[in-house]
Amino acid sequence: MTKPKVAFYWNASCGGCEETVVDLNEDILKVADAVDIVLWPVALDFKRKDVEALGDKEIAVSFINGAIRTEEQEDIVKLLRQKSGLVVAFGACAHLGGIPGLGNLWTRDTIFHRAYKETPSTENPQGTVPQEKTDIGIGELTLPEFYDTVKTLDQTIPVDYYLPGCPPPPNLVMNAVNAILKGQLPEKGAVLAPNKAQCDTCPRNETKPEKLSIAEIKRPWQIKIDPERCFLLQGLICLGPATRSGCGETCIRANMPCRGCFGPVDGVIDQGARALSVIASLLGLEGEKKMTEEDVKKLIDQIADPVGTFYRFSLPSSLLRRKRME
Amino acid sequence: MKLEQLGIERDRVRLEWVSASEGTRFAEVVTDLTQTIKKVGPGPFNKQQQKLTKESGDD
Repeated sequence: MTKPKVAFYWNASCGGCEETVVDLNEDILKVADAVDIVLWPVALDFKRKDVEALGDKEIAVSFINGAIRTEEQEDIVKLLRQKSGLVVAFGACAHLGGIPGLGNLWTRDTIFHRAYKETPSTENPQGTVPQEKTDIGIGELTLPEFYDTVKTLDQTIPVDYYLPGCPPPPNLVMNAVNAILKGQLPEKGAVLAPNKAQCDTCPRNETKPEKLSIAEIKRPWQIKIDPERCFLLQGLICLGPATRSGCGETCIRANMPCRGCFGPVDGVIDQGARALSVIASLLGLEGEKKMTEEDVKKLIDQIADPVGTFYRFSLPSSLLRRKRME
Repeated sequence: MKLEQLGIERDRVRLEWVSASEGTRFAEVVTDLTQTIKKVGPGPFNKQQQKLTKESGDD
């Protein structure tokens, strides 16, 4: 019996999602035994033409990580969609846009200006920036178009399932692979992690009172963080209430508040808005009747970077998707 | 503040408390906000969203 064909591909990403596959440790041998990997740029030498040579839907599953921000990335995921039975958006970048998604606060021109001209250690007296076409005399060199706007995978091709996380934890990956091999998948469009908020499974949730009020917002470096109490109680912004569970709370157990990488639970379209409204509902709750407009403004202004805090992983997937472009 | 980070002018959003029995005040608030928004002018968001959605082949 032929083994199912599997592809792993990466777009605008950091490589952490490839790492997590490696972190499967011995389990990766079971995977390698059970499937035929036909594309995995970081580890194997297959080329684009090898993928082109396959028949439509000949690949059983393509796991695609990274956000879409160049023409080449869009091109190859469209090819993989054509050649794959199932496409899984692997990791926060493919799922929600991820950290590269914060590029949506800028445009290609402002990003190029910063990266190639403005940074203090850059020496670029001629102001050279990447061009799509460059004539070098003996021919023309091309580069793929660099988009102004970062897109999620499902804003580019139809996606069947989502593996959330930055990166998805190895056990979640293993569960997904096993479910695929056994044909025991939920309805299409599902996120392959439990449908409940982090607070439900958080080891600190017993210390979270019924009525919680944040009197003052603190940054993690400002206080000695108590390793047992709920972060919100300590004035730290934790996105646990607005984030899906399934990660094993690794950040919480490392004494850092949740940053929301798993995205929202089912039914929430805009994670940042949900996170913002959760935190807003807790700010200055106690004594709110005595607060003036000034007091409220001062409290809210303690949030240093609202978009970066609430939309850290999910800006491209939000309702607005990006900052206004002129 | 978050809206400003995303490029939405402060003037476009307002929070007011108006009771159901304050009909006149409601009319005043809405009229005033309408005039303010007309002054600020149409935002780029409709066109921007349409363009982004069209480019994506999104639903």
